[in-house]
Amino acid sequence: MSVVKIENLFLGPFTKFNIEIPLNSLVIITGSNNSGKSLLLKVFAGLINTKNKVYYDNKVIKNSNDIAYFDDYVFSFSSVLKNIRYSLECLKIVDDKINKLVRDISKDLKITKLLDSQVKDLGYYEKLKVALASILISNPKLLILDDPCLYLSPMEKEDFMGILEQLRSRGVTVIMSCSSLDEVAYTINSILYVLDNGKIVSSGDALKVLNDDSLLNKVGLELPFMIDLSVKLQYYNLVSKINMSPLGLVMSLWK
Amino acid sequence: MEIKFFHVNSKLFKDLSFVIPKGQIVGIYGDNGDKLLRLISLDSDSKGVIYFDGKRKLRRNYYLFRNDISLIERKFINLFNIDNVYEYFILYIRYKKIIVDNVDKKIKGSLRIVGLSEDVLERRISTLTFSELKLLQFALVFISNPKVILLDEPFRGLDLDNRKKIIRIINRLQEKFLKTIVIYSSNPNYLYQYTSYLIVLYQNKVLLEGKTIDLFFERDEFSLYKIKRPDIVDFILLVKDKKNINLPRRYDVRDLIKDIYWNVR
Repeated sequence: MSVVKIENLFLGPFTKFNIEIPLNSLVIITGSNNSGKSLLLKVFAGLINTKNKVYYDNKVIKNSNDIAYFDDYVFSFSSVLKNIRYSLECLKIVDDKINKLVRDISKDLKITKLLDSQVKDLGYYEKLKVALASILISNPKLLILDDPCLYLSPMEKEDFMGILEQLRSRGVTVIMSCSSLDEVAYTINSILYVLDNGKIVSSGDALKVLNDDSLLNKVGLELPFMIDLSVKLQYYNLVSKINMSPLGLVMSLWK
Repeated sequence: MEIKFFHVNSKLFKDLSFVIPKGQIVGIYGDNGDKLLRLISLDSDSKGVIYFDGKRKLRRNYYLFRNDISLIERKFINLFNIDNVYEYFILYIRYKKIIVDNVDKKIKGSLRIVGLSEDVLERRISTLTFSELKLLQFALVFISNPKVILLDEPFRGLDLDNRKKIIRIINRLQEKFLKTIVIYSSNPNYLYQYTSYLIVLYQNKVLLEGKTIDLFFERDEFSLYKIKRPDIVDFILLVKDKKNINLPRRYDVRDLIKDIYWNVR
């Protein structure tokens, strides 16, 4: 069953473009620069008029509030707590209910300690998490993130992908784009789409797609070092499978 | 332009001393490296002795160095809230107080250096893609023709082709025009491949300073303070540590594979 479906899209680099996003999945869209990643995400979010080429599942997504789109954070208030609470305060929801929601979400995102601080004192990753919390508080069913991992360090990427995995287990469908393949290695059971100039070149289970290194290099993407090394060693029949730990690889090479 | 810092203090850093040599590609590695770039670009306040090419920087002669240093931010910031690319160029020239005879020729020349086509001038900034914005940032810098170019995370979000394009621009600037280029990146792989001189920061102090390849291979401070080394260096050192096999120092995975092949066979 699909949450969002695009049929026969003619827009920018896309011609006769079809894609389906299954319910409750983590979908990663990658590709070289100018391949149409951000444009596709904007189409998913309904920000671009496509003359009814995008179909949403009516049972899951009842109105536009169930879709959340995030590309860059803009904070309207200086305090962290006010930024998170604001969207619910506008709806005039009871204070106790908001407090409970804020507590739950800040516990999930590990930002409980930051609630009393000012936005200008935070680092990049903390700001990202605060921005994510202010979106998640309105309980979206479809979360669309445009390259959230761009300025994160490897440790932070791993942590962030863990958060997304947690969200998925709670019934949120996540679509995100990424420009490097580092973060893909941290996910389990994610679906990877590789775009090249408005066409889907490769798709399927993430680790299987990463096996095809010649295609990814042709598109202009770089594999993470350990996957790259073990895939290339497979050509020479030196190792049998992808090995993510350097120590394990060394031990299996020199027996 | 050579830059020397002696016992410089700022809000964040305490007692900084380092040298950025002339005409080299210098890397800055470690947390808060982007804040150090802002210190070098004289954006943030500092107390201490700073020399630019042997001339001491004082509060009253700040204007002497202002146009010699320019910083390329990690993300394009629209300074004037203008959406048209050509108008943005014109306002940028006026804002930087650069005297230009033929404006159109200058703009087209700098676009040609970075490899952007001239149709960009008629487009809107909000419709440009990430890589085009990055190249536009470089094009804007070439108009003021600075002696020192500071780059904050220049390779983030770029694919192989575009990264090679930027590396080619940087290398040409360094070789042909002898510009000093300072790159901050949190990814040690890029610093290892593209820089010749490295400054490593740890807890807001200069920990190491020297030739990039020697630092990464020879100093054990990296494992001591848990600073990430480049993956390829890590692998070569691990092989030496566990199996006592000396693999040669390589930059590319493909070369490493050949070495492994001959060793295992």
